[in-house]
Amino acid sequence: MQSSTPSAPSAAPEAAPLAFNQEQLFRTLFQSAPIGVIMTEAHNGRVVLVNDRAARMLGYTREELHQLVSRDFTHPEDREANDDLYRRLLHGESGECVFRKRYLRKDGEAVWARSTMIPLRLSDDTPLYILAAVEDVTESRRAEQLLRESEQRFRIITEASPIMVWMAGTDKLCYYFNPTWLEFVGRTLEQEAGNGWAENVHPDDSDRCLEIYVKNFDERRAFEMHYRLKHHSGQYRWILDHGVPRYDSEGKFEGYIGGCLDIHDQIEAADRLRVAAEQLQRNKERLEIALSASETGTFQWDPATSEFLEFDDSLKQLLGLRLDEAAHSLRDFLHRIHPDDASVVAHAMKHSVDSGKVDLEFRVVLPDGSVRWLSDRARIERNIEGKAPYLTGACTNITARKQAEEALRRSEKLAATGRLAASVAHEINNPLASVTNLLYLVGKDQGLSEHSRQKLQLAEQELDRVAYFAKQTLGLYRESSPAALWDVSELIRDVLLTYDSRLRSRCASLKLEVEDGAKVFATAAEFRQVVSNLLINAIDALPMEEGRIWIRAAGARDWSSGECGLRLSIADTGCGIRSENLQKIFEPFYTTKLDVGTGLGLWLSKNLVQKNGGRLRVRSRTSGVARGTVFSVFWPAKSKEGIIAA
Amino acid sequence: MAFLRSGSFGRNPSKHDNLLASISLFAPFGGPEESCEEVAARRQRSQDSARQPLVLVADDEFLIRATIVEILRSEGYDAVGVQDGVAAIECAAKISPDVFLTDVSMPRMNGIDAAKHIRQSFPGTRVICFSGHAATSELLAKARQEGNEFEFLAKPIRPTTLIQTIRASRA
Repeated sequence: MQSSTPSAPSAAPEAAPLAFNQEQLFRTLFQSAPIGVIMTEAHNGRVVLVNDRAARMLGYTREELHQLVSRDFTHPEDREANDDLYRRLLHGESGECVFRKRYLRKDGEAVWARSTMIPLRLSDDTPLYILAAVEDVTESRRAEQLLRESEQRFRIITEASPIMVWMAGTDKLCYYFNPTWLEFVGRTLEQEAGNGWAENVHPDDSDRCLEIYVKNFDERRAFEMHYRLKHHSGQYRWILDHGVPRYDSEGKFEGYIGGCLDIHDQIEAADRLRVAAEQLQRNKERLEIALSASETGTFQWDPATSEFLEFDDSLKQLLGLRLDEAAHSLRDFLHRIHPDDASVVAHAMKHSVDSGKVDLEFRVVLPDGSVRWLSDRARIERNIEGKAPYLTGACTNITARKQAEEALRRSEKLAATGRLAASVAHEINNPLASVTNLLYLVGKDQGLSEHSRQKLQLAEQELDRVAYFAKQTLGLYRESSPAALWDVSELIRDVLLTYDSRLRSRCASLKLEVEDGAKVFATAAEFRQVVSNLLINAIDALPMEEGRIWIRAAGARDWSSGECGLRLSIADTGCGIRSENLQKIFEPFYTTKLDVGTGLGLWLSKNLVQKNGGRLRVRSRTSGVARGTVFSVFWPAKSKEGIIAA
Repeated sequence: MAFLRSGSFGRNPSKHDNLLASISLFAPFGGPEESCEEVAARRQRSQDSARQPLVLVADDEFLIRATIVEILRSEGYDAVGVQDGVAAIECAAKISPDVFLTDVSMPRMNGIDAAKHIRQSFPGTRVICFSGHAATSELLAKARQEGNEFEFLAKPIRPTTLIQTIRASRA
């Protein structure tokens, strides 16, 4: 389309060929215009011209509108402003202007409109007209209203919210804190604005927080962080801060908004909970360690049904059950218990509801036949909601304690025996000393007959036997001379001479094999005593004829400790010792030689050997070709001087 | 009868009471024990007895010390018996013995404590201890730790062993 200037002279050649009816054109444009057009007389507001668009906007017909004045279709609240504008336009105080007003539709509804008012004078003698181009802005007006309301709502919510709210601009600086925040920190908005708020963040947290804030801000990402914020009371309280980027309706970044919650109490509660849970876990672990270290198993048993509610793995192990073996009922439990104890345990368990507890010790027979002592401590749990009384208990392996008690009893027996032997020895030794001296003095009597003298010698010999017995067997007397290196064969020969007559009568052959030059570091009397005790034992074990004894002594190394020393073996072809008696032979006062034995010889020998750091072992067979007994002594080459001298 | 008053008959006096009731203890020994004062006086009077080595015998059992005293005298020694450690110290002060032969376990004061006293006053006196009691070995060991080494014989002592030991030069 060719551009033309409307003010160009109408006589211009190009206008003529169109031959437009200018009025027709104006009317068409006027009626089809996308905006409402209302022309009124300025001095009275009478409508002189109105297009269809304006009529539709106001809900009247054009004809109806021609009967009205501007005031009629103006919302009552805007009429005064409307009148005022008309007056100013009429008096030339205002030129073309834009006026936002509400029109009043025929149906009474208000229509927001943006009116561009143009004062119009067609000629000097015509009145002043006002041409209003009216744009319906109700929709945009409503959106604006909604926005305002939403802002209002936001302000009310944030200000009344228990959540602490902050807002930051695009420069990362905070410009808004809601009253909840300000109340929390006890400061003013001016103090908090910018970076003022950061002053109240705990020094240990502030670097980390700043880093999270800046990093996420730059990437426009939502973030969440915990930090301690100083409460107005001075206390640092844990805060959960959640920040999100803000954008306007056109998607332009406006900064951040954040909401903070005081989670201090939750954190503390969680902390306490965690500590309590850790404590519980530690206690549980400790209990498990304690239970396993003390070899304790636990159970719960329902007396009403005789079924176990719980039966832990430790208890199964204690009873010698495999872990996959069932232990449901009391029967399964009793099955493992020693027959002599089962009825006692069954009785105690069955009557536990009446007695309120079980407290007993019993034996368990393990699959390999060995016996284990258990203690069972249990009590009835009552008044547990919805449950019948049941028995809760623990079984502990007390085998070691039982053995210790037995060992204690034995050592007490030993000590008592030792005291007894010592006092017996003393009581025998003193009269022996007197009698020996008296006999000696009698023997010095020159007037004694030869018969009497011979009888006296016999009496002295017999007395020597008693003295020897007292000194060697009961005496327990420890020679005070220090240990020294002795020739082994010499020491053994001393002993053999003492028993010469007994050997002759009982033993068909005695073989002595002593390694050449074998020496022993010992107190002579102690070594002799060990040899003589073992020798007496061998002689007494021999049958009446054909008995044989071997004595061997040679340097050796102890197979268990690797120590060097002397090995002394005394073997006999006697009756042998039954295996069930082998352990008892070293106990004091244990003897099978009821008529001749004291039951102290082997006990004393073992004690003497052990005192010198050595070992005494025995092997024996009661039948077959190899029938007989071998006592084997390992006497270490070097003993602790202190022990020997004591 | 000093030994009766002192009650030094050992641990079972009833046995000895019976013995006393049936026989006179002193008769076989030719009368009551010679006291320290008597021995000291006798040795001053007699040159012969003064030349004999003097043995102080301490034992709480009368029969033991009396027989030992007689055995020693039959072997050419002079001897006197006392019933405990306290008596031994008192007696040694009067007679300065050549040998102190003492039982270890005695009432009032044991033989080892007495021996320690006597050795201090009379370094030349030889000490020989004897005992039939196991506990004495500990006493001896203790004395040895303190630097007092004493010769030791185990009860019952054969008289011949006793004579040999005393005759033998000091170990």
